[in-house]
Amino acid sequence: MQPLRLTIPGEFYDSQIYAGRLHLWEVDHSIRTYNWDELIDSLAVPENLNLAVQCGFRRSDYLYGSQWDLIFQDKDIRSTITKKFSRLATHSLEMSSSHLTKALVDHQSNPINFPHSDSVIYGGRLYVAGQKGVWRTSCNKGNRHAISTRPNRIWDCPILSIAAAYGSLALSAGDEGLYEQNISDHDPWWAKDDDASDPKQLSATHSSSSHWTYYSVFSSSYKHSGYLADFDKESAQTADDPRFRKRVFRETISAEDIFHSKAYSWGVQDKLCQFLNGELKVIRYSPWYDGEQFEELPNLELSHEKGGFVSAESSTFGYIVEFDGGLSVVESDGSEFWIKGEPVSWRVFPKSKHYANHLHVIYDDRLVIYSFNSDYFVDQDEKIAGIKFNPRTRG
Amino acid sequence: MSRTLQTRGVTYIFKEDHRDGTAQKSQWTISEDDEFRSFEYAFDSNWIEENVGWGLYLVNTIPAFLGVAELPNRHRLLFIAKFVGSDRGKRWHGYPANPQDHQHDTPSNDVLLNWSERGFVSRAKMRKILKGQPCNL
Repeated sequence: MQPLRLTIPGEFYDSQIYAGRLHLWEVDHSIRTYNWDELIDSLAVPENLNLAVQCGFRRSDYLYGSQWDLIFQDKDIRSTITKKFSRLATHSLEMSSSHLTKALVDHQSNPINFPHSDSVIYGGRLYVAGQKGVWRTSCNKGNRHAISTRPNRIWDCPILSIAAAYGSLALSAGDEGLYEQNISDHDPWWAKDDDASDPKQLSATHSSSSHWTYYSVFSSSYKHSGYLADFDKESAQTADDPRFRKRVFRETISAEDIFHSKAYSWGVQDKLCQFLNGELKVIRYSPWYDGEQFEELPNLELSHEKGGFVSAESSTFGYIVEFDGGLSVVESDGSEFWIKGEPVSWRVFPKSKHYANHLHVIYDDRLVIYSFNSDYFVDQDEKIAGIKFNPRTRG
Repeated sequence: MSRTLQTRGVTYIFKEDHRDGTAQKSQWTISEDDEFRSFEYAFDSNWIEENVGWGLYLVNTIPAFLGVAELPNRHRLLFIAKFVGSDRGKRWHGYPANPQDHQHDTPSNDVLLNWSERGFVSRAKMRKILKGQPCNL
């Protein structure tokens, strides 16, 4: 099934989508924030494609979940819904300047050092990382500006990549290694031994980017194959929360020990991947198992390899591998989709509640939002590619 | 004794270990004359910030490769020059920068933005440099 495509003209550098708002960093050091729901509702498409529009762009969670199992087993219903997505994919969806103007919430000066290396929104706060460190500011709808103009620098270490989950930031600091910074109101797991307000080094080994694999962190590197900072969860009940479980650091496991081969590796949630000789090696990671935590899955061959390897990510709809010449998307049903051209930047939202099917690709003159929707019809335990959809791990 | 040249009121030193195949050092693949011109152009373009400067090897205003990485990544082509000043900015030397392996080899935001605005480096390359990703011309 072809993905949906929505184009927003403009000269952008980064994008974030969160709680019904689309934030776009422009090259003139400004940020535009749009009311995303209003933008989607302004799309001129036939009424009978509205389900595809809403699920494709506003509610990726809607068609997931066991409540639809019985309905999706009906081939006629499944075929009807699939046809709606396929028909919408033939429409060239582009936001007009009048609709963009109407849905503009704010156009403000960028309050944080630009250009940055990475950004993330978590718990109503925007975190931006770059050469000068990590900034935090709020992006609540109640603020005067969409992005608060009073950011705080929470660390001054140069950071290459940032990821948020479990009340913490995972921070890739290149030669300085992998760190974790507590951003919750609770004491972090290292509070007993170290200052809770300071970032905690998980490893001194080089880290280029990092992602959360449930409550553990996988660190990727261009200097070696990467490693997993492996955590456990132990009961630590409190009077307020008798079911509270605390993360406990177990060990660092090298990607070479996991994959038994050397190459660029990355991991998100239940899937650890390695790009080796034009193929993806995939491991299913189950940190709560007493037995084997790492289960080898079948390799996936990439047919669209245009130029050298650049980077890779995972989402529910599949794996995304960037080459010099474009992006290769291996979808969860095993099909491969090639997006030609070197992007300025690109981003997926695997932990998002409503936008997990999005792939944002920024080019010199536009943002293209791809929406991949074949994953709704795939068995989440048996899927060929992509992380398992889990409603409990959505932000 | 390394060769030196005078320009813009400072001394530029040609470091031999970045030309003699030293394993731990990136190596220039352009001539010393071109290395020197790259430094002068960086100086004139205000790509010098206190004791660190950043340069490009421009061929008909288009950046070209100027060096290769240290071992074991000698195959990796490099296109950014890093210049380092000493003696209160009176003496300078340079080497091919390798931002994929060393964060301190990443040009500053201001220099990258200037390169992007002048069309020397695309925004896609700027992103790759900032994230320490593989970046080909």
